[in-house]
Amino acid sequence: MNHLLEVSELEQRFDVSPGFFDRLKIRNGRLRYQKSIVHAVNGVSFQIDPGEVFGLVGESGCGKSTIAKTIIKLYEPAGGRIKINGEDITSYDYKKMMPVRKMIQMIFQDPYASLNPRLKVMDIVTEPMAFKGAAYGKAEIREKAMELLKRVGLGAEHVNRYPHQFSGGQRQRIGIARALSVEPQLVIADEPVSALDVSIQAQILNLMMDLKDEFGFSYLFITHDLSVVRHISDRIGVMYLGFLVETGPSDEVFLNPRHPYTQALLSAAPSVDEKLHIEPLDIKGEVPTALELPTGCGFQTRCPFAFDRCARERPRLVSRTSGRMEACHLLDP
Amino acid sequence: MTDKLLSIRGLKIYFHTFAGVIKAVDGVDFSVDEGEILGVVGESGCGKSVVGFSIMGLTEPPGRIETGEIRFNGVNLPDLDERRMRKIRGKEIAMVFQDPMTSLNPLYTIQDQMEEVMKLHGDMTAEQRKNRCIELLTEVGISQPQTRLKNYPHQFSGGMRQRVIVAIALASNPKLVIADEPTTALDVTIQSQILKLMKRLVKEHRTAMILITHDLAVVSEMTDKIMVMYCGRIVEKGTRDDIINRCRHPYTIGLLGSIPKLASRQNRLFQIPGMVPNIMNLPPGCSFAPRCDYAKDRCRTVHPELADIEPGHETACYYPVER
Repeated sequence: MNHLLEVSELEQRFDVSPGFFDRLKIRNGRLRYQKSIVHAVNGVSFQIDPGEVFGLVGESGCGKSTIAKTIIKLYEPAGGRIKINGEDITSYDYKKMMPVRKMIQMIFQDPYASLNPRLKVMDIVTEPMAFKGAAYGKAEIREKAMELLKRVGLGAEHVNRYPHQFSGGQRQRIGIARALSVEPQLVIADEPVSALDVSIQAQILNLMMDLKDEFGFSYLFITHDLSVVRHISDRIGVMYLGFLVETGPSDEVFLNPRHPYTQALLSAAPSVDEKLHIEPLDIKGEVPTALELPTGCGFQTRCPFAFDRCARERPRLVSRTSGRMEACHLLDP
Repeated sequence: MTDKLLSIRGLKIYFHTFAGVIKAVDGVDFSVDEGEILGVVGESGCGKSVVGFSIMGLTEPPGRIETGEIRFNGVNLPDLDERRMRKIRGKEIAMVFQDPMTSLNPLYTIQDQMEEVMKLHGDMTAEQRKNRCIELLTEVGISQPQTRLKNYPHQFSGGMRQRVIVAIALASNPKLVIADEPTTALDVTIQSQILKLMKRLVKEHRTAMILITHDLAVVSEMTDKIMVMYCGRIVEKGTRDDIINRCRHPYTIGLLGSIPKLASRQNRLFQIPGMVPNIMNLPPGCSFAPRCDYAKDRCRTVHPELADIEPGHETACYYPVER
């Protein structure tokens, strides 16, 4: 089967070095020139199939949003490959990316910052369609936008208003209509409901799932909220410190997590009803800085089961049973 | 009701703005006992934080306490002047705020900030104060407290800062801790560490706690009693089990149904239609009526009062849902 999106060994680094003089450090009596590099994404590989919802979870700073922005080439990848429908877009420049961006659209976290405050709703939703070239006429574009706005739950009275006249939930609906206006095949949703209240969150999640069934696109769904990712995803990937530590079907991973970090994360999740039947695993301390990655496994500094091999060798993401992959030495015989 | 540590009756807090009067809290009654954890839940703008701030005497203009009693240990707090309130604030009632990044002063060391409370409310010597700081930091799980005391807030991570804030809140052995979204800014694994820590400390010291949050999952794991607020009023209150497992108010039911389940998979989430009404322009009658599936004419005209449906379990609804 052909994958819609294929990301392999993706790497992303950011140079956060201070000014020239601050970079000069004296080490062992010698003057050294030192750069500080944040290792945001370290060799991440995954695929998304047509019509699939892939959820990416992890705590803040684990690199999930960086992956999203790298896929859509808002950041140039530092290493690895990105393929859309088999087409390698890793080295595409701005111009060549234009047609690709019609296939990939994004929904952002902050509905207050992601809409241009000076554009009316109609203009916000029709703007991406203008890039489709001569495919549509002006009247056609407006008609299509109206249809979309109606579909996401906004009425004709809303089209000439400005974003500030809407609530957070309504703005997120506008953002969704904008993303869908060019009929994308993949929608990247970066924490689309985190800024919303619980009752509005449920409305938006239901809407997003209905639209997916209707239009048949795929989601890359990024969130830190475990119950949301559980609800929405077919498959999930768990990230830690820029590494993908476990992937697999959402149901299986939630019922039987294999990587110690996944276990710790899932057992820490508060829940209103029955808890997951996961042996509670308390991990000590906090995420190390991405400026200096630990040697070997990224999680070894906090893992209660770490042994000597974990500090020596970086575990690779390996499939042990069909459909699931884990990056952990403990699971090797 | 004199034996309760804190009892609030008929509390109304209005904000007088140029655009009109905002009834942020409109008639709230509840009480908290020693060693008890009360959860206050609701969506943004429902007035839950305003209640918390008013107990600390931190209601600021244009906000004003219109009527109502906040009785703490038999004393009505709104009657006290600022000088006497300062004796209570920080010593008897402490607060843990949401944002660990901004609630510590960046210019002072952790030790300075921890000792401030002790200096104001005690007569300890410098030596005793330092020892108490070390003791507290150890208690909240910060390693090497001796050296950490000399550090500044920026040298701590978010989770560590929240631990320090919990330590400061407990420094003077308060009788009541008000925690306003204490873990909302933190990651899941750190959140669970901090919540476990707070629950353990509160139970050990028999401190009462009011936990204000929008996160029902957190509330269900932490609290003994829960009250649910909507548009400045309490819509339902009771024990944790009353609310989580036997709730009767349509809003509470909707709120619980909107949360995706962790342990099982469902196809669609239950959703409450519509939006929270504008608080300046609340509908007559029950504020929830426009979004409620069960609303009848009576709901749209007269506001329902809180009433017992079983002992200790109250709801403000004419037609509590049978389950």
